[in-house]
Amino acid sequence: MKIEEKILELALKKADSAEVIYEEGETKSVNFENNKLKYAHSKSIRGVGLRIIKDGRIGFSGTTDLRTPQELVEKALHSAQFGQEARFSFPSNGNFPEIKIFDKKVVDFPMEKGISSGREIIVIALAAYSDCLTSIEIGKTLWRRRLLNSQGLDVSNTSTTFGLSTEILQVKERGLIWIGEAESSRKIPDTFLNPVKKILERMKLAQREVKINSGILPVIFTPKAMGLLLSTFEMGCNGKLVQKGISPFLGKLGEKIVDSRITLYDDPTIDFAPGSYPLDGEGIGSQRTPLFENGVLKNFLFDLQTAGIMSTRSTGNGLRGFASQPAPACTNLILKTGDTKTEDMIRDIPYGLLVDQVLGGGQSNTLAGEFSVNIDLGFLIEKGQLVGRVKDCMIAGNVFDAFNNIAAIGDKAEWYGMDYLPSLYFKGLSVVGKEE
Amino acid sequence: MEDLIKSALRAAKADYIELRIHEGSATNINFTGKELEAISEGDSIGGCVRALVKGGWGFVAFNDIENLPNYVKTAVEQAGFLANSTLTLAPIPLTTEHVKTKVKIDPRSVSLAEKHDLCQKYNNIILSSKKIQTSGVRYMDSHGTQYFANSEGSLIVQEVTFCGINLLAITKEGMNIQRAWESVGDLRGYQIVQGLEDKCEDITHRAVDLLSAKPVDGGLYTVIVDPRLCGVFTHEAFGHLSEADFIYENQKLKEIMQIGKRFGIDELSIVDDGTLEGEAGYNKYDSEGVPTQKTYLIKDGILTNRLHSRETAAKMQERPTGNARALSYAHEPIVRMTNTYMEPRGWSFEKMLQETQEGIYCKGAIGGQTNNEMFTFSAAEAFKIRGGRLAERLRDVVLTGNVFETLMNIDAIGNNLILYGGLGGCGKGGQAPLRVSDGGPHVRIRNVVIGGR
Repeated sequence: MKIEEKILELALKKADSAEVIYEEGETKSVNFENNKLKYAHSKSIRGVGLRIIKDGRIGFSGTTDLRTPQELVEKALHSAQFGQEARFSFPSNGNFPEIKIFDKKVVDFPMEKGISSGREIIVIALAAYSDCLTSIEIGKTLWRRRLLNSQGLDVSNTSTTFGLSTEILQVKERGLIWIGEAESSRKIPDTFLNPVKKILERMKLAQREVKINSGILPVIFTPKAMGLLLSTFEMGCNGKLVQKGISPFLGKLGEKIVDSRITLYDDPTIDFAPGSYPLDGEGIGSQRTPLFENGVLKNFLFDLQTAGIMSTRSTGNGLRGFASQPAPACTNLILKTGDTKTEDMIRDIPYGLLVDQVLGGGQSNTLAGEFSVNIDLGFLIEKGQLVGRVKDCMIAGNVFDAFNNIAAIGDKAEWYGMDYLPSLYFKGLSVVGKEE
Repeated sequence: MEDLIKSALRAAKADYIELRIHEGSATNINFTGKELEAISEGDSIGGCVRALVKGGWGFVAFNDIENLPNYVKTAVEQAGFLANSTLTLAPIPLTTEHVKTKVKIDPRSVSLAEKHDLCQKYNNIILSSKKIQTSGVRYMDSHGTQYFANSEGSLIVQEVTFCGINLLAITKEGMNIQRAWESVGDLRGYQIVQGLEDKCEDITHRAVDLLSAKPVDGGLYTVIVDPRLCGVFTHEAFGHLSEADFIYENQKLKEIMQIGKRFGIDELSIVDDGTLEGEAGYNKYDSEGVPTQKTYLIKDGILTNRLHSRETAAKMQERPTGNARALSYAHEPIVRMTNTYMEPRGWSFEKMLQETQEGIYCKGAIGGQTNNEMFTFSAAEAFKIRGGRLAERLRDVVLTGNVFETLMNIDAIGNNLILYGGLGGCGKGGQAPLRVSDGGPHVRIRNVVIGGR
């Protein structure tokens, strides 16, 4: 009998119902630091989580020590004495959508190929800037998860992840240029050279530093910088925050909140996307959930317990690792593209800004839609042209105001983490620098 | 355990090899609003091997301790796979020691019921105010035994007991949502989470007051920061830049960061001190088995030292400082801060305020971030200063600076040093949150850019 089965059996001797999640992962990665091959990592991580319901209350414990299953069960039972009242039952076996989350090519990918690809990237970077220092991480993960509960649910799945991050640093007389790009997918990318190409294009623009006048300026956020602005929507649509009464969208389902061109989905059903899965962490099948359609708020995201309290259904967004209980969270966040090329947005601006990297995201009152960040990597636009890098300035505003003040939406989306987003062009945002 | 470690090391063939094993247990309690979202106790065991072969590092992390000899072999193989250069480690003393935890009240001696009741009491205080939309009380304690052994013959066992709590109050009027919180956490024991009733009241009032605060206008300001924000400022504005792994292989940065270079006024001294027992960033030995120490990063305005691992110290021909820290057994040691602060000087807060005609007083911290040149740090509370007095309350105050200019703009350093730990911590290279403390006195800084609508 496998350990997870044994734990379920032991738990059911005392609990009314129970659920066991077992996970194990193998991660391998190589790291280049400052143009040199530095580290080869490998991680073999495994653990188990037990959630029980006893006398109507939830108990939980997790461990990486598989030698003592009885202790795990005792700890879960002990916590159920204080636990929250269960407002759900564990689901039985369902029909889960077929979603591709495994690529054998990731498993077979030889780390030697990672090393040769890293060397190739460094050669390209050095050819452009002989004084630059490149750091690269290429890594792959094979992850196995088994979820079983007392209702007879027993699902195992295997997923792969492949990640490539590239960072280039150049030290100038008057400061640093530090540009990074990261890609993550469940399969091997067709080329490893896209990130370095993107970085070098930006690097070229950043060689010239220019001053910017403070004021309300037209601003383009690239897909890389857009994540900052979407975090408010991500939090606002989280069913847990709705249940606690602190979502800004509370009581606003069906209302138009932002520009009618904004359509936003949570979608874990996209083949090979980094946040995809056939079932969530408690056995509910995944689905695409519209959050905003044509600017109108459509749905919130739920796990079982939060949905139970709110008398609604789980949207299959109960995310977790073995060491914690499920909680609602976004998966892949998809913002519908518009019809404007980023080049045309730039051409449209007489005096403004393009923002590509920000510093200090999450330090503002995100829930209320506030943002105020340093422009880590941004470029001044003059007469429809990118003219150089701006530094030591802040951009600030309120997301709800900004999303009702959109000039154009980009025609091409790009993946950054679990977000698939186009660039966005805002008519006016407040930029503050050292020049008046 | 010690025999298992010793025999595994004996079999290894590498230029250098080290083993770390962590056995621990933790308690988590989380109230959000009326609901107890989570309450659990859990155990963990895990380890890692790091091997150095001809300049290449192999690192293997695992949970299956019984398989240790195989993991040692894998780490050596992986390192061999990269071997193509040379790398030396700065010499350190050979050490055999068992460092016991020194807590006043051991959280393990307190029952889960008592911890639960304490959290519930705080939660009820916060929720008792009608204007509060929701609350948050998050309690955490952990006890760990960390075994460290290396091929040079050191064997160090360190016990660490951490305990802390976060208290949060949230108010809401339509789309205007405001938060106020307090966080304590360090290695002193369970007593630090007791008696926080007043703090619960404080954050409740603050969250209510913030609803009517005015968003700050963006611009260039004179600011006074309190000891807590001074800590975040010190950490972001200079601490990270003094971590040698950022400069040791970068010729140009080495020239910019030359020891002896002036970074601030004569009164400015910045210290990292891993030896402060009980503080959140305390360790007797770092994750490479190097004893921690008090290191002046800036003394009397002059760059005097930097933070090192054995590798960066050897490469820069300086001495290791005991700052190689790993977040957990699943991570390799990298150069990190411990307890970082600005030294106090002569100014009283009252005098500093009186002699500031116009500016902003910034209290508490939401967070900070740096790219090693520019940095941001944000205040939990802020007040306009007019004619040397505190005036109206402001909100959404995020400040930015440049490490090569902003330290020079400090013109008054206060006389009251306070260090802060907490449940949060520092993030770097995917390793977060690492327990650290930071602090300082009240400090006045000229010409700070603040973002605003």
